[in-house]
Amino acid sequence: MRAPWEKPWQVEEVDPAVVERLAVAHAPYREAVEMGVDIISDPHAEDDDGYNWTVLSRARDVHDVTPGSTVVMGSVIGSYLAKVVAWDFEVSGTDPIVVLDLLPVTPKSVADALARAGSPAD
Amino acid sequence: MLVIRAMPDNRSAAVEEMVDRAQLSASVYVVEQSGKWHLLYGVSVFAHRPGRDATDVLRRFPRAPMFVEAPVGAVRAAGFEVVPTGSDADHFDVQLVDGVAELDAPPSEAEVRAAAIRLLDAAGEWRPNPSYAGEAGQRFEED
Repeated sequence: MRAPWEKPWQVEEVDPAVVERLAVAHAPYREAVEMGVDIISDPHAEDDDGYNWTVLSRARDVHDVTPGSTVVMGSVIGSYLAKVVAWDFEVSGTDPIVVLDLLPVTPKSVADALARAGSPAD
Repeated sequence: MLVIRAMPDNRSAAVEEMVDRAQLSASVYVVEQSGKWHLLYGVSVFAHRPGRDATDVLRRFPRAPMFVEAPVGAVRAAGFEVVPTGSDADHFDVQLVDGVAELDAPPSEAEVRAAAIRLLDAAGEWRPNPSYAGEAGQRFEED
């Protein structure tokens, strides 16, 4: 996989059938539900390509954290915006690593900017 | 060199997160130590290099009210390896539980928790994060 700064629009798609298989088996992660975020991770974490990482079992809803999705990532030190870059099945076929590209903007600053625009920019 | 980790204002929450992440790390990563591969019970930290301001590191954690900072020597003196990880030369993992191979019995959660508490004790005083932007986290940063 490329480092985030080399190809920021890259995502690695996952077969929709695989997404459905994992979604059926998934239980919403309690902390993600309680915090009202899409997935829990540690914003300090970094993989060998420079991305943040967590695992799919830390998600609230599998469908919201598929590659290409924009997500709110929760942690004990607040919420962060991220893009899901890939699911990595190398270690587990049932609980893949979710590869996240942390975005250097806060959720509130984006919400404020969208509010100023009057409507979400498509 | 110093290492930094951003913190919540709640020590027990910080400990539990470190325990969770170390166990998760060990389920994914191994690291070579003394010619043997061991599970990485890692807690991620960033380097604070001499001559640089701590805010260079902490600005990426605007929702963390506190941080801890410790010399690598102090962390190692407390019995923890500091391992370079990730692609960033300033990213490291502190190995919470050393010497556990893939086929070994894993340490209990209580053992991992005790190691996390010992690491925090070694790291010393918690300090206010100068980049803290409050609960809403508006700032990301005015340079």
